This record gives sequence, structure tokens and C-alpha cells, in this order.
Amino acid sequence: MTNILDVRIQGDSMWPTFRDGQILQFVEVHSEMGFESGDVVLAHHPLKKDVLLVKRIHRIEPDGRLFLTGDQPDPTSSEDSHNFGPVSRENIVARWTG
Amino acid sequence: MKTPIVAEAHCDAPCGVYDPASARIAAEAVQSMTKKMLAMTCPDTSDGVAMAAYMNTMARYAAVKEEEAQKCKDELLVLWTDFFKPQHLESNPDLHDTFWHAAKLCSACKVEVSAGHAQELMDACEAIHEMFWSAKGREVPWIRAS
Repeated sequence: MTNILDVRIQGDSMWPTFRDGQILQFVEVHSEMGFESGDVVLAHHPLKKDVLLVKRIHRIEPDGRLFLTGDQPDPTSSEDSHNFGPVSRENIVARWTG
Repeated sequence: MKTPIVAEAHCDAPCGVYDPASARIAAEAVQSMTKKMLAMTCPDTSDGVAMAAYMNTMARYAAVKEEEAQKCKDELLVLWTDFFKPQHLESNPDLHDTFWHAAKLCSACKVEVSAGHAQELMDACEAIHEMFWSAKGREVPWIRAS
């Protein structure tokens, strides 16, 4: 069964794709689900256990971990894998349905 | 509809505290020093004690003007490059020109003793104040300390 999650974006790190306050639908991931570069995902912050992030998979590392980035072109605008490094697939909660 | 999950899409700092008031205060100091310098009357140049006092006071005003103009420029550059993001250009298409002009005025106020440029710097700080608080979605009145 596909579980759809409503997610409200807080911040501008995914601008211009998403704007602050926008509500989007994500589909909850399951263990067999694969990922591709370019997918937008909802993920647990690897260093802050209570924080969920929305980022794009920029690339998949050779070890299978995911390098997540914001879409915002400003280099100071996104806390992502540039700061906390690639994340494991277990951090991913859902994928954007768009 | 269920309450949506909140997903953070924030910056790396994250989201530092910014306020154009710092630049405005420095610009006010520049304007104040400029006015003081222009209001000074040069004493009889043969009066050594009076000349020493005059030059000492003028040098101190000039030093403060120089320092505060640089402080103003530093504060403006932080707002320009760190606070403002590409999306803010949508509602402020002249954002880059405004900051560039303001930074140039800081330099002009160092080089010159110009009441006109000091006032233009204050006007530029006011324009930036409006842009900043508009971007934050708040109405904050422009005020001066002096």
C-alpha cells in the first residue's frame, strides 16, 4: 500500500523548485525502493535526529550513500551534504511525487 | 486534511541574525562626523596651541568617519551577500545596484568631506532597510538615532 505524506516546506533552500510554506505530497519509501539522481526526498537529518529535510539527490556515491543538495543556487542557502556529508538510504523517509 | 509534516529547507548557518540597523548606525556616525568637520572654523594659523587643538579634533573626526564608513560598508556587504538570496531579486530587481551604489558611497564618504554624499548614504541605507524588512515580511519603520 502506498502511503502519501503531506509535507510543508520551511525555508528557501529548495528555491526555485519549492517556496517557503508550500505543501507537497511525498510517497513513503519502502526497503525495495530504488533512488535516482534528481529525486527529491524527505530525509532525516543525519546529525539532528528530530529534523526532517527536503533535498534533491545530487548523486549516488559508489558505496550507495546519497549526496543530498538544495536547489537554491546561493551557496550559503542550503544545509545539505556539503555540510554533513552523504547520507545512508536508511535516512530517507519519502520521495516527492512530482 | 492531516497536519502536514514540516521539512526543513534552511541555510547552512543556519539562518543567522541580520539587521540593517548596524549599517544605519554607522552611516549616521559618518554623517555626524562630516557635519562636525564642515562646521569647524580654522583658527589663526599663527596660534600654535589653537592650531594643534583644531588639527587634533579634525583628525579625530576624520578617523571616526573613516572607521565608521568602513564598518557601514562591511555591514552592507554582509547583508548583500549573506542575507539576500536570488529569490529576493524577484521583488527587488534593483537590489544589486542599490547595494553597489551604497558601498561606493561608503568609499566616497571616506575620501571626501561631503554632506551630500553622507546624506545619499543615509538614503541608500533607508532603501536597504525597506528592502530588508519587505523581504522578511514585516513592517518596521525607518528611524534614526540622531
